[in-house]
Amino acid sequence: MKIKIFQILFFVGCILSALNSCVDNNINSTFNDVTSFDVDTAGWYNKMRINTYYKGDTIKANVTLKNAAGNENMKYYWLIYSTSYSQVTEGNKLVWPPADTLSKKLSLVAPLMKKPGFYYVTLVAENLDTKRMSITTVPITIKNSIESGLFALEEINGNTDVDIFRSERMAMGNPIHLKQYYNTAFGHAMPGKPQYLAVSNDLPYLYLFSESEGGRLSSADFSLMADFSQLFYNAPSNIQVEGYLNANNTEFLVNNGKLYSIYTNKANNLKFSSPIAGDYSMAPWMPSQTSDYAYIDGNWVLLQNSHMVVYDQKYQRYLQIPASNPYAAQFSSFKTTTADAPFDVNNIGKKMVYGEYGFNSSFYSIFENSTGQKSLYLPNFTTIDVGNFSANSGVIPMDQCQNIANAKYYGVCGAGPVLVYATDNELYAFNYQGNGTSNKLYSLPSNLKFTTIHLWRPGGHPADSKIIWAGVWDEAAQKGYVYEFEISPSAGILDSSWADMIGLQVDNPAIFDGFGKIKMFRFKL
Amino acid sequence: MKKYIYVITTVLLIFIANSCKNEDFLYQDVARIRIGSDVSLTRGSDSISYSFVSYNKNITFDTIHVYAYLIGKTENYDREVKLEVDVARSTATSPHYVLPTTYTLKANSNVVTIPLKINRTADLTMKGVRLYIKVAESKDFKIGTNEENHLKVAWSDVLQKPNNWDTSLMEFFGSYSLVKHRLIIDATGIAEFNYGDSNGPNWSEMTNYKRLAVALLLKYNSENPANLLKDENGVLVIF
Repeated sequence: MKIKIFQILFFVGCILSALNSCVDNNINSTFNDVTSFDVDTAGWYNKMRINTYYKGDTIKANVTLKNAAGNENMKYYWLIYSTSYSQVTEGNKLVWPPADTLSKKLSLVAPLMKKPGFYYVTLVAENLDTKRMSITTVPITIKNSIESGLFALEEINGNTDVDIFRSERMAMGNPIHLKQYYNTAFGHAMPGKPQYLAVSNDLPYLYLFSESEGGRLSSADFSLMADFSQLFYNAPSNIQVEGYLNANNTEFLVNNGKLYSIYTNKANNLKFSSPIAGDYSMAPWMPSQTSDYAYIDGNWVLLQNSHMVVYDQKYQRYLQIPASNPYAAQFSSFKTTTADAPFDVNNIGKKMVYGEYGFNSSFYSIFENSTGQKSLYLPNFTTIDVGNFSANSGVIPMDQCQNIANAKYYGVCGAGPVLVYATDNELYAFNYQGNGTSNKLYSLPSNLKFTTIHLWRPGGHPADSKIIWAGVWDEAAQKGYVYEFEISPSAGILDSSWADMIGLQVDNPAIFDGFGKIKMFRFKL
Repeated sequence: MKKYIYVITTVLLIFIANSCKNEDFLYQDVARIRIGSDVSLTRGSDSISYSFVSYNKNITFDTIHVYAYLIGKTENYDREVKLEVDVARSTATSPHYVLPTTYTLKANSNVVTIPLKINRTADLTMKGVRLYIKVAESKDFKIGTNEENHLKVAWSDVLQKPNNWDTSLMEFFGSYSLVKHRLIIDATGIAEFNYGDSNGPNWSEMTNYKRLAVALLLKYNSENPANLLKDENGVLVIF
């Protein structure tokens, strides 16, 4: 029987079609059978978020996958990076640094060796077959003190103590209020009225001074590390601590208008050297930043003119320790100011009433002239000296600000052009980019007075520049309170957006009792 | 029998000899004087070497105690002690020192302290001087033992550039000058700094010394605006 050619072709064609359809069906079947997975956050996520850790602690998370079956070929890695994650200089380039890897297993057990601060911990789970990924991020806090939070320096029955406080709004662990912690550590308050509390989040100790004694305390347990006389090679005769800053590898301490220092990157005995020599009387405020990166000729360059800048109240001028000679034994002036500069840093001619580094790299400097008029200067000392530090703006009058003549306490935003100030009874906000006036945020009842304010600048925390704490005192009842305000750092108004965002139902201000007469607040990690 | 007599006599003589009472040993010689000073200064020798360099410039003299010790018996009356200067062996002259050469050893005592005042004269910054003090015979005392009948005292105020200035101290104090060195000593009380040695000051301590010196310089210059501090070469002192 003859088999026709077309019959052969037809037969082959059928076979080929059958084969193709089978292959097609297999691919479709595989695609339709993939099972998606996800990380189960139950049991570990919230616990990690509200815990605070010391450097060296072990962080743990017992994690399971949802729909683990069918997702066997997986890869995991746990990353940790700062909440203020930013580019860094590598040679001539600015690059994003790689995040540190804590673990490559699904469950986490790893030591935390980062320095104190705010971080994100991220679990990345990836199916190597399907390339599908699940990313889970949780914020954590690494602290270096007995507790991290707001340290309130207060007067209790004429003596000095410290309360440690943390509110829900701070979103850094469970709320706490540890009362009179110095008394807890020593069995009694520090004798004498409170004078100064100095902290640095980079150092494992703090300084506490009353009008009659003081010294360096371990922030782990408040044990005394050194009394006042032991803090110096040549101790001053009086305890009159007015200011402190840890910056540029240097601890700066202002006592009775003189500047003492410890260079922490040099061999030292943890003792302050004799003060910077010369005829001056320093205002207690210093800018926390005196350098910044600039993109010049295709490269990122670190600009730093000054190791530190101070204001000399005696001759009413700014002075500096130049970056070219950071260990100088005396201050230097700046270059001759150019004719077009709105103010001369070498000759301000006014008394400084407050200073703080803030928005737009400015050292917010509030001055008062001989007739009591206040004005705001915004020198930017993070640039090189070209004879004009007032690139941000000129002299900003504050005489239209409400009740400015009675202002006693100040705070400066880093996230917006707003500063706040308080009189005995009222709290105001001033937007220097606004219409020259301030707006009232709050009035206390007549029986209460503000004793201090502190605008929170934790750096890297999402609530930076949004929370103000005020010390409030009832003289008749001898009771102290903390009033917690939330503001908008750009608009300068009361604004609960942050609390809303983290799901808090809290007043604005929230009021906390159980304090003494608060002299100052300091935030400590 | 003779034999017995000799034996008995010998025994008796022996007893007689042993029965004699022993007398105490007493100084038999005449009364004498020897001299010395604080062991911390002499180190057991007959010499003292003293420097004013480490002292603040406001210190213009010091006192060295010369002790005159009795060799012999104490007496119940005052006696005269005499010292003298061996001029041939001395370069110090009267502006450099004050030494009383006659002193009184009080009754019933065996030592007297004689103050030798040494002065910090200007010429001592260029060259030191020495003084050879010796015991002189007095009406009451002869001269004592040779080893302790004299005391040699040398003193100066000569500054010298420390060996480690250029290698270790320049970082803190800058270039060297005698005037600057004197300023540092006045400010710190220290003439030499063994920075870099295992038991020497650390960087922070040296920075502290520098600040003290700078503070003193600024104070001097503010008090003498028309006559700022210059070194021996006429160059302004700076750090």
